[in-house]
Amino acid sequence: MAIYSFWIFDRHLGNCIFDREWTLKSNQSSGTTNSKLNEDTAKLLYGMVFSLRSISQKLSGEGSHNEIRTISTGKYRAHILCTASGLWFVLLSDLKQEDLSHVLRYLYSEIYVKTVVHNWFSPVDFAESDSEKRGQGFRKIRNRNFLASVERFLGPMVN
Amino acid sequence: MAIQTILVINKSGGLVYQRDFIKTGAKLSSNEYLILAGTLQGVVAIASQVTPKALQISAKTGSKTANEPSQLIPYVGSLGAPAQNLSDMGSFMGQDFFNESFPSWNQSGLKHVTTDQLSMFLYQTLTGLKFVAISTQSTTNAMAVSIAENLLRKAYCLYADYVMKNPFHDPEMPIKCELFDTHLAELVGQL
Amino acid sequence: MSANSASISASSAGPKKSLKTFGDDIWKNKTAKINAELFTLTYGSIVSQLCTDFERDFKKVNSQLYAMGYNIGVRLIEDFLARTALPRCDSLAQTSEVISKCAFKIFLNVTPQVGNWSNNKDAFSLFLDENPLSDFVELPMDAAKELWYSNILCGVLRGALEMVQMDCDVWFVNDVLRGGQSTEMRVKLNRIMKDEIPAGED
Repeated sequence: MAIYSFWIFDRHLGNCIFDREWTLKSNQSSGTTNSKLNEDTAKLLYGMVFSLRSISQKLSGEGSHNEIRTISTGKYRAHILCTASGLWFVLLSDLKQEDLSHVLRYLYSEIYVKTVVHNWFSPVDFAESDSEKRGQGFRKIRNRNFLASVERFLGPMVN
Repeated sequence: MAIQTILVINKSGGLVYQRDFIKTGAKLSSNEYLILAGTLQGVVAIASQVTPKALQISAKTGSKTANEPSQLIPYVGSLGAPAQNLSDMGSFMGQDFFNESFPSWNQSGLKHVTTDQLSMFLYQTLTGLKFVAISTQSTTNAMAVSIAENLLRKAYCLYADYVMKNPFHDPEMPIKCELFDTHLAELVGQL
Repeated sequence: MSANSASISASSAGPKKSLKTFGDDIWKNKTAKINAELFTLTYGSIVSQLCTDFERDFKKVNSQLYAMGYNIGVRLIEDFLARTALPRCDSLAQTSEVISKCAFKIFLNVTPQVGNWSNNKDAFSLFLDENPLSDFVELPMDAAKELWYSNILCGVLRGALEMVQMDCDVWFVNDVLRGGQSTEMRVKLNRIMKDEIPAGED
């Protein structure tokens, strides 16, 4: 298994509220968390997912939802979970991983919901001003439990 | 795997060909298809920019001979279905258009998207031409991806014959060649 | 550089096929053939009609042949790529090998020699020992001073290379029809059109 990075985008026009990138293959303690350098990459990733998501919704059959699942290139695959609340969980992996939707669902229901949503001291809406609501947000999930749980769960998958 | 639509996008991102093979699929207006083509053109480029750092770093540290960059797409005869070969392959002689595995020209750009209901495969040539197939089966299975790549390369062979060799076809303009239509329908029908 | 063993370094597994074998195989088994005389006569009639139409202004005939070749080249490259699926060439040297051993072999069944490299390796010559376009042709006195009979080939190369983002100049240096020792085409790479390279290639 090789996981390269994990991103969470919120519903306010693609603010990236969490990113974790493993920059050295097979080294689960390498890489960055919520790094400022990843801002541009985050915006590009959001744009790509947004465009392909709107295409897939246009292509859906009558009445049913056609939610995007994966985006692959010759080098990596992005697995996507879009929740009804507007959150997007994106996981970049190598091409051998064909379907990581169960990983994403675990990250959402067991990790995010338990450590962020159920924790009253942690915001669920990371945008506080109007400009942040329009895509210029910068606040990230810094919740220790969340970070630790993500490391424990995804760390072993980096190799 | 059933193919719902085939699109051909020229190197500037303009849609030059669009054909639905399944009548009950989603109906987009021609304008929406044009927008789709332009969007795909942009996303192909963005996808290569978003390549994870771990891959960029290993590419730089001289692993040019590593397995990943030079992977070949395996040849899938008869596109995996038991049907016979095409009756008339134009200028291509022999059993099939080609019979060996081949490298992909599109290493780091967008190749494949899956959604709940469909898969979209994109094959980009060295000249910037893009062939897109939308199928009704949502799958990331490696075999299905190979079948789709083979199908799109065969569509490229048909393009090289029936569109490029048609003296009345304007390059970069929408394709209006009946022979291309007929042969493409036959190719897709093989699946 | 050895002329017959340039390999395609595309496979991570399996035998490496030389370009020469690759080109030969496609010529023998995968392309339809036509009668050589018909081909020579057809081309000859085009050139002679152009000479009449332009009232023997051979500069104009040369340009027209070049323009026709260019239009052929931009279309022929798609056929070549669809048929061979060769990866992008790393260097001009590799390009010259592919042109000589695959392209000329597949379309004309000749393998011109590559040689006469410039000092900074940005130009080379193709020496055609045989030229199927000009079998049995003898140029009249006035044409022998100005006309490049096979100029269509220069246009084809220019058009095809432009479609794979290589801006090249191609011209005839020498032609046996004009009394020269050999038939020599020169190809010079001006620049690689980096901004037109399709997104997604490394």
